[in-house]
Amino acid sequence: MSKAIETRGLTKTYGVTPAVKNLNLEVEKGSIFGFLGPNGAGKTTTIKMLLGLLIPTEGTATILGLDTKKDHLKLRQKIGYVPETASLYPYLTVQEHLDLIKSLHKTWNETLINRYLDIFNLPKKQKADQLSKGMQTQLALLLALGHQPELLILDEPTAGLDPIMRREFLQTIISEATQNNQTVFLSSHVLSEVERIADTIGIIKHGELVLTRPVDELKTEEKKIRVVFQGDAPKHILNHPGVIKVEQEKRSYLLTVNSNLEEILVAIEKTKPFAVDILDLNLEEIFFEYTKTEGRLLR
Amino acid sequence: MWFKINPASGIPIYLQIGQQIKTAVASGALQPGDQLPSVRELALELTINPNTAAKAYQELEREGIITTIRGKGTFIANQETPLNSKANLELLNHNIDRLIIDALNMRLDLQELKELIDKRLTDWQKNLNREGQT
Repeated sequence: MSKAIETRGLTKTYGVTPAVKNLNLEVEKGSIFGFLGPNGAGKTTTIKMLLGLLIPTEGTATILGLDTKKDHLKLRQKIGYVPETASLYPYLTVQEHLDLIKSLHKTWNETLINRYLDIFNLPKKQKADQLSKGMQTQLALLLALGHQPELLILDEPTAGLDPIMRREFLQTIISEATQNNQTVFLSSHVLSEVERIADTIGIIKHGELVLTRPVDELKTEEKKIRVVFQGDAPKHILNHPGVIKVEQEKRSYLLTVNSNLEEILVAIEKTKPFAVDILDLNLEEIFFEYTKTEGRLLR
Repeated sequence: MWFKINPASGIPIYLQIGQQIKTAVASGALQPGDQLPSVRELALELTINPNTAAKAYQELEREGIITTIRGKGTFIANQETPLNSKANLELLNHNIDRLIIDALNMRLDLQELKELIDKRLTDWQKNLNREGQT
């Protein structure tokens, strides 16, 4: 079993509104998976189902080989979770939080906790409601890391952190949650950080998975080609497998390509075009490409 | 060694790291036997996925640029000149390719480019000869 997360037809419907539709998600063990999507796309609903906090309307989710419905108590020991807003007890101190969560787990790495209390400069005796937003997030991360989970699930954890804290947060994840084949499942709107640390990304839109692909492959295969042909655009190029969109402005064509890039370029070169330009796409541009909705300002 | 990566570039991060190490070796900034940071250190320094750092090193090791000695670390390969010139050759070819692409974009044909290069080479040769004499 080399999958950390595997869902089959995972669906959640609220009343008649589907929040997540027929989701088939696979996350390799030992990878960092970036889970992206616009607000309201179903990211948090998905995460809650993975954690066993929400019962799916249909379908199954298997985490580290265990079923989220039947084994969710066993899974609690293996998963670390940092929610969107740190769910802390306002009247408990940093130390009291650590003691409380420690008591819920079979294993607890005191050395790790002390090291990061130090690095983050977290005041042990301060009550949670007196901590800054950034410190609350740092504490939530420590509470999720103390039992050294096999899978760390993060739901937009760095929202509201300053750039220094954000970098520190990511470095902590890199050094403490990626060793020994640990897996990280990260939902985030900060695409530049996902681009940095994810092996694979998945994009969800209106509750459906519209793309999953290794980041390196995205980088080398998803491109736009701007081309001016000598005459009319040859049909065999516009219809070439891998060309997913054709836009035209006067004599200039803009092809959006998601595979077979080399083949397409060779075919274009053979027509002796007036000009060819390959445009790299970063994750943000790819994200827009896959999540664009008709009738909105963005184009 | 200072790495500078651009996560938003169209070039995968592991290739960016590889290219920078190759350039450093070709230019002599990194010498055979020089130690590179461990995968973990590199991942932390650049805040990237350790898998990406490992992939960069695997590629370089496959190409003979670096070697990993178990328990000791990763080093620039103790290479004879052929290997060294292989890295150099790659760098040169890369630059020549870019030149060719520029020329093609300017609607120059390859013969015209060749003539241009020949002329430049002759000029350079003259200059070098003159310097040699003084």
